[in-house]
Amino acid sequence: MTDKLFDEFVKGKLGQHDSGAPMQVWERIREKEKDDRKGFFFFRKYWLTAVALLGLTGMLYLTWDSVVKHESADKPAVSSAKQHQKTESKQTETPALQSKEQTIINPEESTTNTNSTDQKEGINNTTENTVKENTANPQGIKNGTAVPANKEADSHQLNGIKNNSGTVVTNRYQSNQKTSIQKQQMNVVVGNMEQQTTSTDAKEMLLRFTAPAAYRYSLSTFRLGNVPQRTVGPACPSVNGPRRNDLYLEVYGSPDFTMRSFSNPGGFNNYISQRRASEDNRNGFSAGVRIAKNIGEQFVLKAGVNYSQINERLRIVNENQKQTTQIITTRTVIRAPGDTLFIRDTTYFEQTGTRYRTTYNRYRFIDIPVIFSYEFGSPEILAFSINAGPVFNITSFYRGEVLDTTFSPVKISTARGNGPNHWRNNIGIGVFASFAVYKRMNERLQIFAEPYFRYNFKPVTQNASFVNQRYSTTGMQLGIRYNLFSERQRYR
Amino acid sequence: MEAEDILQDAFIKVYRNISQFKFEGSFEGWVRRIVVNTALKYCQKKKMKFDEVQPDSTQAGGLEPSAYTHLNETEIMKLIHNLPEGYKLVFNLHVIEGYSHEEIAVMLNIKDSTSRSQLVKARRYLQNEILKMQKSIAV
Repeated sequence: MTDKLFDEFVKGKLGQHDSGAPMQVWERIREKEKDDRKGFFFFRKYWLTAVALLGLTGMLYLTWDSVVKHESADKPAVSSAKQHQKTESKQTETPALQSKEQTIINPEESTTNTNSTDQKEGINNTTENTVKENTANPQGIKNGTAVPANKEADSHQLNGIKNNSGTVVTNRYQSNQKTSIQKQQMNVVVGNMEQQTTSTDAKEMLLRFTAPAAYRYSLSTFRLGNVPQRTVGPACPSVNGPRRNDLYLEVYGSPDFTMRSFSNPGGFNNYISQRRASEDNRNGFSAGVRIAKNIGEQFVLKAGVNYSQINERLRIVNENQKQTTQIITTRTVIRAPGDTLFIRDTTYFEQTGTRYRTTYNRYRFIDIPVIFSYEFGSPEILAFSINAGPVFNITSFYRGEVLDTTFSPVKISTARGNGPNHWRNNIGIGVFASFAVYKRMNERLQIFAEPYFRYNFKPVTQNASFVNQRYSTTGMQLGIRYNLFSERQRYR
Repeated sequence: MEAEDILQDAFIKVYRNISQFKFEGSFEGWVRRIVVNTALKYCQKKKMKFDEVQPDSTQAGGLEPSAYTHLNETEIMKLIHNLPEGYKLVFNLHVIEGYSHEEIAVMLNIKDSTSRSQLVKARRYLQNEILKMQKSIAV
C-alpha cells in the first residue's frame, strides 16, 4: 500500500512535469533532418552514378570489343571489294557492256536516281525505286544529266549512261559504272531484305553475305592476306573446332547466416521456447577450396573441401541467485616487545541477485561438396553460373552448452543418448544451391561472388533425441578462381 | 545531452513516419511511444545490463508518506537520475509512463519477474536515498 502511494506520489510529481524544450532543439532537429536527407541524396546520387558508370563501362567494353572485331574483319574487306571490282571491270569489257545494254534496254530496273547525292544512298534508293516506281517516271531516265566528277559518284555515273544526249563516258567511268551496276543488282536482293540499312559497314556486310561466291572469295582472300587475324587455339584445330578445356582451382570464404529449426516429436514445447529465448546471434562463416572441371562447353563439375562454423550465444539468466562472500581481516597487535598478537576476523555476507551466464557455442562441420554448374554469359566480361549439388559431411564437432530439460546448461556431447545435448558427429548429406557471378581479372584469374543456400537433411541431434534440431545456412561466397590449364587450348 | 539526442532522433522519426499515424489513438500517445522506443533503442545500443546492485543493508521497509511529500520535482528527478540503469528504466516505464510489467518485458526483452524485481529494488533504493537525505538534514 505504501509502495503504491509512493508510486502515485512520484507519478503525480513527474507525470505532468514539463522540463521544457532545450534551447535551439527545433533548429537542431531541422538541421539534422536536412543533413540526413542530404546525406541520403548524396548517397543515392553516388550509388546511381556508380551503377551508371559500371553499366557504361560494361557497354563500352562490349562495344569496343565488337568494334575492334568488326574493324579488323570488315574494313579491309570493303577496300578489297572495291579494288577487286575495279580490276575485274577493267579487264573484262563484255560484262560491263552487257550491264550497260541491260541498263539502257530495261530502264525500269535502273530507273531514276537524280535526286541522290550520296553514292551508296543512291544505290539503295535505286533499289527501292525499282520496286515502287517501275515505269512511273520514264522522264527521269532522259533528264539525268549529271556527269560523275569523281569515281565515287557511281549513281551519278549511272545517270550519265542513261543520258541520251551523249555524255562523254571514260574507261574509268565505265569500270565504276560496272561496280555500281554490280552493286545495284545485288542490292535488288539486299534492298528487299533490308531496306532500312543505312550504315556503310552494315551494307558492306550484307553485300558480303549476298554477293556471288567469287566476290566473297575475293573478300576473304584479301582479308586473310592483309590483316593479322587473332590466332585462337592451336594452328590445326580438331575437327569439332577449339574445345573448352579448363581446370580451375577455386578458393573462397563466406560470411554465413544460419537458420535453426526445431521439430518436436517429444512434445517439449516449453523447452523449445526456452531454448529459442536463450540462444541467439547465429552467425558463422565458411571457407573452402575446390577443383572445377568443365564438361562440354557450359557445364562444370566442382568438388572440394568446405569448412563451416556456426557461432551461437547462450545466455542464461538465474534470478534470485544467492552469493555468499567471506571476508577475513587479519590484524596484528603488538602488546609488548616480543609479544605480538594476530587477530583474524571472519565476516560473511550474502547477496541475492540475478546472475547472467553467457556461453559462446561453436558448431563446426567439414564437408565435401559436389556441385554441378551451368555457366553462361561472357567469360571475357561477366560470366554467370547456376550451381547445385549434394554436400557430404565428413565430420562435425561442437563446443559449447545447451539447456537441458531442467533449463540448466549442459555440455554438448557426441556420445549416444536421447538428450538435446547429444549431437551427431556426422550430419550426412545436405544439398547446396547457388548462383555465381564471375569477373575476369586476367588470362588465368577470375574473382567471383556466389550467394548460396545449404539445407541439411539430418538434424544435428541424434535419432533418439526427443527434440530434433536442424541448421540451414545461407551466405555469400567470395573468392578467386585460377585456371590451371590456361596455357593449353582455350575455349575462347 | 543524451536526452536531447534521443528527443531529436525521436522527433525526426515522428516527422518521417507521420504518414503511419492512423488516427486511431491519441497523437500524444503515438509520439510518446516513439520517444520511448527511441530511448530504449539507445539504451540497448549502450548494452544496458540489469545489474544487481546491493543497496545499503538498511531496509527502508514501509516509508511513511510524510517522509517524502516535502520533496520537490527537482529532487525526485535527481534521485531517479541517480538510480542504476536497469532500475531507472523499469521505474520510469512503470511508474511514470504507466506500462505494465508484461509490456516492459516485451520492450526490454526480459522476463516479467525481472521487471517486477527491478521495480521493487528501484523503489527500495529510492526510499533508502530519501531516508539518507532526511538523516543528513537532521544531522
